[in-house]
Amino acid sequence: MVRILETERITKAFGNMFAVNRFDLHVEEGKLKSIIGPNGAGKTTLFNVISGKIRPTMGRVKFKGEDITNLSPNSISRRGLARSFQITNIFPNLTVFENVRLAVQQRDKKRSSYFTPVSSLSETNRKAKEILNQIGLIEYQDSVARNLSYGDQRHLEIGITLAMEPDLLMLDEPTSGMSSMETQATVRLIDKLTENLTILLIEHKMDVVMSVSDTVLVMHYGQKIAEGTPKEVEKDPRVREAYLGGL
Amino acid sequence: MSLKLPRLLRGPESGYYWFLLFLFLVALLPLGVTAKIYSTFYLRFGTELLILGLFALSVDIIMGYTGLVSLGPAAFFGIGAYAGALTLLKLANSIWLALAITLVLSWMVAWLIGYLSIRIKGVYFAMLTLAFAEMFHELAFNWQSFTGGSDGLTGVPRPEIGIPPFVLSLGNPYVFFYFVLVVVILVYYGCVRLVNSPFGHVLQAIRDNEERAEFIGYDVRIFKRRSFVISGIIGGLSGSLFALLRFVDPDAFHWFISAEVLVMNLFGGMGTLYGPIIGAIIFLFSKDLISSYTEHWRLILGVIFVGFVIYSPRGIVGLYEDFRDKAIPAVLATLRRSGIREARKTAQSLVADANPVVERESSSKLKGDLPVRETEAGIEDKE
Ligand SMILES: Nc1ncnc2c1ncn2[C@@H]1O[C@H](COP(=O)(O)OP(=O)(O)OP(=O)(O)O)[C@@H](O)[C@H]1O
Ligand SMILES: [Mg+2]
Repeated sequence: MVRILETERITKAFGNMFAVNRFDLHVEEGKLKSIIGPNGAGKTTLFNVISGKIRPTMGRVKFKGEDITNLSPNSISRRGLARSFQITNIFPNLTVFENVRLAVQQRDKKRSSYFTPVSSLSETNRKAKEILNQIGLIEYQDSVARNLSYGDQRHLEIGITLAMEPDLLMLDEPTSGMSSMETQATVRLIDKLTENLTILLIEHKMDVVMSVSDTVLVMHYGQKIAEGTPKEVEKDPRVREAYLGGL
Repeated sequence: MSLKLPRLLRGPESGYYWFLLFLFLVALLPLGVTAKIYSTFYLRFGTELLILGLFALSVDIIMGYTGLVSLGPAAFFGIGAYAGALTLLKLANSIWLALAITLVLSWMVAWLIGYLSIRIKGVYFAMLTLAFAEMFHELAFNWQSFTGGSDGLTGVPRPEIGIPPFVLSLGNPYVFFYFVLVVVILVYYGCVRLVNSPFGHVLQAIRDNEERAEFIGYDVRIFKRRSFVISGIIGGLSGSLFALLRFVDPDAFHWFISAEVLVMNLFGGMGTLYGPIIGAIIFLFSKDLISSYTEHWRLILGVIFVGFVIYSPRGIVGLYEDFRDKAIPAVLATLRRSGIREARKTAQSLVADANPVVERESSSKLKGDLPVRETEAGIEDKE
């Protein structure tokens, strides 16, 4: 199976605390892998290293066979890696449509043209509408993003990442803070996405993890303590211990 | 009443084009002089308003649209002023050469300052831009033989434009006024195109959320630098025109200049292109008016400024937009439904309610609150 993402002994130390410790991760093309683990396990830090937000203390990241360890976030993103954030990260004062269009526009050959009106990028505008339909926000396309409900803002962020047409989609707790209704909608959306996307997912809600994942990886104190199918992981005694001890 | 406006003058972007129309009307200003309603002093004053409006516009690109607060726009104003004047004095008496050298020089200086300072964020960026402007101020003061030191440059010739036998002198206030007006219209229209282009939209994305822009694949630093350069070039152009209208001395680089142009932007309303130009016009008018009564004009303008920042952070344009989008539709809707008495009450409550916009926007956080059409907003959810 093709490994689209591979990390080698990723380590990130904050002072003398190892948030991520010699971490080996691999994601296979077309699969959905979830990362679970107690608060402070280092999941977000791992995402930050992979996506270029922070530099690792040690180790390297390979994406589609290329070493991307020291690249900037924008060049990593352009290589086909899209991520969402644990704390909603959208353009709050732009319209919903504009939020998505900006992400689509990045792939347009006129992405930074100075004098063409954006309204004339018909392919980009069409794709942006398509994404809004897909995430169910088309009726709010002209609303300013910050006026959306919390759940819809989270969906909008997923929409932004989809608009990038990524080869790997990394979602950091997409359902955090959502009501159970909103969570269900998110799960349905992710389920649809798994048909043709590779996804790396951080998630706390066990029912979500168990229903959408191909593989589950458990992280604890910056290290991997278990990895396997949802069933295998559920039974693993070390996982139970980490969760009971860690919460 | 089915008078239909052209497409550009309707819809959310219409403000840009209404102002363009206004600029065309400004072409009528000299008629007042011909008709002896006011003297040529006002023609020159009008020219100065346009030039400083252009300067304010340049700052809007970097501050209003990109979200970078630079404290050193005077650097470009001064570079332009000296580049223009020195070309005319020492190289050739040609406006085109003067402007070309201005543009190239401000482009280079802006690129360099941008390259060095944009990598640094927030307050440090602002301080660095201020420091560069101050360095130029010092240089203009001390390089006596080239810049004329504290006296500045005098006797700058007024070049001619046109092809013989149709030649006009820019020393003629009418000619210079129209020359500046054409430049302002062209640059303003270019900026309208720019902010509506893919590039301009990325700038606005950066202003709103730099990290998100970076993580969808835009090299934020490059976009900011380009915006800084565009802003610097326009700023240089305005300085050059100013030198032709008035004079050049090291004060062109003074931090007062930077501060005033920021105030013009805040007064008028940044991020609109026309707001800052309107801000420049009102600022200079008030300065002129108030300083004819008292020498403490800074004190009075300062108080007005503080009032604006606190009560209408979106400036005069913001004030007008609230009026147009909220107050007028609300009063009209009440009028339609319940007659004049109710409408007056609505109007009064709107006046009492200092800032209706902010409240309404935060109250519609929940889904189920469908985006209301603009004209209907304000009245339905009041009950
Ligand atoms: N920028 C930082 N500076 C210092 N310490 C940090 C920084 N970022 C994270 N940490 C620390 O690293 C550890 C791992 O944090 P991280 O956010 O990666 O955990 P997480 O697994 O995502 O947790 P959660 O489930 O709460 O989101 C925590 O102890 C955190 O306090
Ligand atoms: Mg986290």
